[in-house]
Formats: sequence, structure tokens, C-alpha cells
Amino acid sequence: MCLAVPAKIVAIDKDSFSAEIDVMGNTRTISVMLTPDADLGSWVLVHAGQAINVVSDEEAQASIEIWEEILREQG
Amino acid sequence: MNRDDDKKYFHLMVERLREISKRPIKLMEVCGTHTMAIGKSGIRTVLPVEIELVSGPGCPVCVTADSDIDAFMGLARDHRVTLVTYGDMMRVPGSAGSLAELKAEGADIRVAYSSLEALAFARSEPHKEIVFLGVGFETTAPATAHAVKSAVAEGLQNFSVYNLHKTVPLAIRALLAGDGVQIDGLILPGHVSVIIGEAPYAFIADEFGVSGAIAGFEPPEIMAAIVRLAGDINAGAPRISNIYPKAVKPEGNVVAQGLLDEVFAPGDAEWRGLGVIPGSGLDFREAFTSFDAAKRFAVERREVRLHRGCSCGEILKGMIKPSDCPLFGSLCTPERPIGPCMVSSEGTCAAYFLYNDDANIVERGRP
Ligand code: SF4
Repeated sequence: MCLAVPAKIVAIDKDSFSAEIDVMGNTRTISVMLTPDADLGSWVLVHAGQAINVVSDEEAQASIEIWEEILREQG
Repeated sequence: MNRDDDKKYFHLMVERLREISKRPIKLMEVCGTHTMAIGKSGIRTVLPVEIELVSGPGCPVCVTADSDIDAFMGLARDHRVTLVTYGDMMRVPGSAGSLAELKAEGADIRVAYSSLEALAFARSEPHKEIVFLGVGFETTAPATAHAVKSAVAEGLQNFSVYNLHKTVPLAIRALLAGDGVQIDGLILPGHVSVIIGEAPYAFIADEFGVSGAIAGFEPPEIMAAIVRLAGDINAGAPRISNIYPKAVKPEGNVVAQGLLDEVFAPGDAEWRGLGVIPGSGLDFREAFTSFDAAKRFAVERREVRLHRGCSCGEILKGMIKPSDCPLFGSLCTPERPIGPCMVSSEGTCAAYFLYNDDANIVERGRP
């Protein structure tokens, strides 16, 4: 129940806080009430039917930066 | 980021950990999803002998008290309501069977993927009382809050929540303050942190001198957390670090926090193994108490004697391993679970069983 999965928004109706995501070829309706920044095409982490945040490409890069930092620190 | 990067950094982290591991260190992964990810990726097999990983209380199903399981089953039995729950709860045994068994006897019990599905049942079947089982930490609680607010907006009278939501930081505090095991560092739950941010963990380093790292769920992310924690422990410099910045903002998700604060106020909650932790639950605020199924149906929680020899409680505190439980793998298996730690897909016993994650399992003659 605690696992959040990343998914892409394929349709969105901001007025009703409702969006559709594609999960391996299946469409699922989720709520985007918690992520006002989510838009068509956004990648979101989805948890129990709610998007809990928007993940951008630049942010994915942030992982490598922090891994490098950890390796340097312990080098 | 791609798979090649993942592999490369995983190996670099493993190498670095071997270099810096000099004395025994005990780390706890608080979250059940980490327990599963660790099992699945085989991380334990590459750790230096100095590093021990124990599992914590971060599986919402596992920490649900027997008395709560009995109470919501009583709702379906005595009040003939329709219970809607996340799938994980179906097979958790209470003192008188599980929801799955009750359903087989004819009770109206449905599995939903989200709280909004439960709301849809209430909308389309106005003659039925729909009770949603609100289970989970800060990650699922906003969805419950959202459903309740929608019910208010739509004037739905036949929807309520049996509310078992709990918050993670206070459980960590209880664990560190208790006299269980000595824990040197904590792998902190990534998705709970997406909601609550970094600040609620500050006390772990400030008051207890223990380090914590907010981590993601991919193998290199978990290994990076272990290296960071081992380094902090070696240096004697406890701190909380967020090494999952791609998902966790320092301030968390403020919209979700606002929603939680609007609908819930801190209340006492009973955790299996940890007992009642004051303030660790999420009670409905005054304006929303009419949605509290426990009040609507005057549910009485009866103390339940722990029986069946299940050691889930000790396991959730990181005091023993699943293989130390005499029932593990013999009488208690995922197909025929005796305790909640074996039922949930995030449960420690299930993870150890599924991924054969302990040398002792072989000795015990796993079927
Ligand atoms: S193996 Fe089964 S009985 Fe033993 S602690 Fe785990 S869930 Fe409980």
C-alpha cells in the first residue's frame, strides 16, 4: 500500500482535479489535487490513486549528483 | 538516469562500503517498501559482515492492532455495512478470522485501489452504508482526507471512514526512546517523506544522536543511503540527509500537509508491538467527526490477548528476525499467514520468506 509508482499523465481536467495516467498500456483515473503543478505529459509519483508529486528530468539528474557527493565524501 | 548508471553506482557504493566498514553497525529500514526492495535486489548478500539491516515498523498493515482488526470486522458483521479496503488488509487475521473469510461468509467487503473508489460506491449505492478502512501513513492519509472533503461537498451521508491512519516520526521516536535494540542509523521512508519533508526527522539526530537518510527504492539509492549512514556513524556526526531529492523536497508536499491539517488532528494510536503512542494517530477534527465510522456505529474496541505465538511485535521493533520466530516458514507462510507481518506485501516476514533472505531459512527447511 505504501508503494508509489511513477506514471505519465495522458489526460487532465484541472477543474475536477482529475487526470488519467498510463500504467503499462492501461489507463487509470487518479486525483491531482495534491499536485497543482501537474500537467498533460507530466510524470508523477502515484500513491493510492493520488499523484503525490511531479518528477522532472532535471530532478532525476539530482540522484547522480548526490551519489557522486557521497562517494567523494567517503573517498 | 539509466540502468547502466544504476549498475555502475551500485557497484561503486558496494566497494566504498567495504572500504569504510570497520565495526559492527546496525541500520534499520523503517519502511516496508524498503524491506521488500532490499529483499528483491539481494542487497543483504553484498553487504560487508559489519553491516546489519533490521526492519522497522513501517508497514501499515503489520502495525495494525488485533483489536482494530476485530473492531472493523465487527462493523461488517454486526452493522451490515459495506466495507471497502486496500487489498493488503483482506487476509490479515484478527482473533476471529480475516476479512477474506468474512467475505466468503457473505459479508459485503470490497477491495479498492483508492479512497475515491470507495466514494464512488457511496455515490452509486445510496441505500448502502459504505465504510472505508483508512489505513496507512502520511502517504495514504491525504487520499482519505480528500475523500472525506469530497463527501462533504457532495452531501454524501452514507460514507464514513474507520480511521487507523498513523504518522511515522512519532513511531520512530517511541522506538529510539524504548529499550529495544540499539540502532545506529535509519533508512527513512521515501514516500512518506515526499509528503512530510525533512524537518519532522530533525529530532532523530538532535535528540538521539542517530543519523537518518531519506532514500529512494532503487538498489543504488538504498546502497547510497547505507554508505552515507556508515560514513556519518564513523565520523560520529549524526545528521539527517535527504538523498532522494528527485522526489522529496525539503519542505515536502505543502498542499498535502495543508489537507491533512485541515481534516485531522494528532490523536493516540495503538501500534502492534509498540503499544499506544500518544499523538501518533490522525483523529478527525471536530468538523469531520460525523465521518468517523467508529463514532457513527459506536464501535467498541476490546482488548485482545496476543496469542498464536506470533512475534510480529518484536520484529517490528527490529529486536528479532523473522527466522527467529518458531512459526516462520513452517506454520506461517504467505499462503497461510498467522501474523500480519507475513500477509502484507510490505511485511518483513513475507519479504524474508519470498526472497529467502536469511541463511537460517535453509536450515529451518523451508518447504
Ligand atoms: S513468521 Fe508469522 S507468526 Fe512468526 S512473526 Fe512472522 S507473521 Fe508472526
